[in-house]
Amino acid sequence: MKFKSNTKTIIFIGTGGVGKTTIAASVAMGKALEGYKVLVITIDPSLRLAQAMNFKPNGQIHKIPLPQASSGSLQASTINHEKVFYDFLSLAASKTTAQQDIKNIKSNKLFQELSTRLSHSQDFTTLFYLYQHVKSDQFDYVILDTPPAQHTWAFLKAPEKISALFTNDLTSWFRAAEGSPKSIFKKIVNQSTAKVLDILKMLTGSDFLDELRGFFNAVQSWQKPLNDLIVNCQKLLVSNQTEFVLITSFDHNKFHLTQNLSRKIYNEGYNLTHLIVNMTPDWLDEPSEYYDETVEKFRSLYLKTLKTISKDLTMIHKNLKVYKSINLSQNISHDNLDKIYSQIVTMD
Amino acid sequence: MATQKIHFFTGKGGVGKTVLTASYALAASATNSTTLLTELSEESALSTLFPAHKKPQNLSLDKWNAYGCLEEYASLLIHSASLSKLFLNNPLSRSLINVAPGLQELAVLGKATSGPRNIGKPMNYDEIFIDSYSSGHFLSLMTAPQSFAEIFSFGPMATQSQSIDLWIKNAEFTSVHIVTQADELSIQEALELWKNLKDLKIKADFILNRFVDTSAINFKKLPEKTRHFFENIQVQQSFAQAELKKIKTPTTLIPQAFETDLFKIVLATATHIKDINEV
Repeated sequence: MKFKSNTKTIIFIGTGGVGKTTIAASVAMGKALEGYKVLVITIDPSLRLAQAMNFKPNGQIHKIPLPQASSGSLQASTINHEKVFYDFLSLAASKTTAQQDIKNIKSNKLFQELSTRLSHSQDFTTLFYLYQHVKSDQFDYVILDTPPAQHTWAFLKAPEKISALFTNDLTSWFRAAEGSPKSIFKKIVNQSTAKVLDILKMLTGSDFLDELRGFFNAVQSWQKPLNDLIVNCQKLLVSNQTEFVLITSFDHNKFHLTQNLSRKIYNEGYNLTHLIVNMTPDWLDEPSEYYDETVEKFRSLYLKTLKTISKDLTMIHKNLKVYKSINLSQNISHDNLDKIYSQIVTMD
Repeated sequence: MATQKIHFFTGKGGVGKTVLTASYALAASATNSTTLLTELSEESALSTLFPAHKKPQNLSLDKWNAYGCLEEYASLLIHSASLSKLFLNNPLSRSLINVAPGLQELAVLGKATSGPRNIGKPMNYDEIFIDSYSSGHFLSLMTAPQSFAEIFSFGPMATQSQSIDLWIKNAEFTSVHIVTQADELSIQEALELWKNLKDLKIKADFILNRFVDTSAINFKKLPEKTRHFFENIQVQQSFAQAELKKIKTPTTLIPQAFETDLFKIVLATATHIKDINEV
């Protein structure tokens, strides 16, 4: 597989269960053997890859030995989402926020729930971790295997979602609702905000309202740096040094989802350059003298699928490089990643 | 009136949840007077699945959008349309709704359990089939009522969360079906979800999808690559069945359908489900 010469970030996306992690890792291995310094960030939830590559899934970067001598290098890391989330807050907070404020917010119930959510959803923390390492300039390629979100969309939209929390000046809104009104306009605004607060209080109880107030007070001082950071993460996604590789599997249902995804990605201006159809069967044209009903049913189903997939492919992707890789049922291990890489071939 | 039942379908992405949910709903509509088939995903898959003239009259299709459920729910709790509009359009409430963890999930479950809890307009269905989120998100969905009951100390939100929590944990009313394929990763994810749900005191059963009967295949006569492919299926399937057997939870086998047309798969699968139910 070839990428543009100035590309620094390669993001693998696709729906669940299409072999994203394996393909991302094998491309990383392939590029390391071609002489590049590569970091692969894997989010494989089952940690199979970490096991296969024999490194600890502890959120730190590990050097992976290469099967043959090469001037390149391969390093791999899983993500400790909780730690990354706190790193993110501390980085934004370091200059502007007193330690006490950080303590205050960490003990806020709403914040705790929010941070667990954000770190569970993995979307934002993954992106931030990627940003940190691309920015460090220590690697030729930083390769990311995206979270197993049902829709990769959630991952791409993560910065927008979190910035909504920090851009609206909600703290001042709270003050407006409680402070003394100075103008008639403010008074009108305040009457409606006071009503909203009443509703909130009625719905959720006053304790929750206190938590909410505490939360917005605590985040006030670092709204701007946080937001800048989020904007930088977003910029990385649309940068011309970032390429997206879309993976789909040999399955008509999944292909349908992939089509929708690829269209959306184009529309949003991400740099989608490669499509890999994974798990294509390698036995369909194998000659056989023996007739077996089950085998033939599969063969005809798969041939039909292959036909529809390639028809759909040529319809939507004119500039996209399309590859296929065969069904890799054998165990992934760090020894056969380079083989997997060599089996990713152009589809014609 | 007999008690309504709701069915959630979840599992790893790509294991065939949507087609199975539709098949189960279609099978149920043969004996129910009214059945609802609905989806939570942002992309509408169900509407393209059923050719309009082939859908039975007593099977209704819907799509429950999380934000929409929340709006609906807020207006029920606030009682006044103008106040709820004010509330929902307010910047504080809006951003709270967007980021507040699980609020939209809570509303989805609020809607799903609104029948027995007598909240809002009654949904007159015998059974509701919900094509739900995949494993991780589904777990957050089912955790939402409990965590909200903890965050809100009192007020309607607290009582609502508690009552929703009770109904989703009531196995007479709520069934959770974990759809899986026989491959190792899907099975691992299914088992992990089952365990996490069990910790939440939610019972779930398994549906092993795309099961292939390999008993009639004469492996020795197959050429090498073909043999590998089918042997691999056989190995995966016996591993899957052994793993599922260990935890003594009901598992339904759904055979592989040899069709590319999704609606034809739904039809074939629904027939199979009806056959199982009769036995």
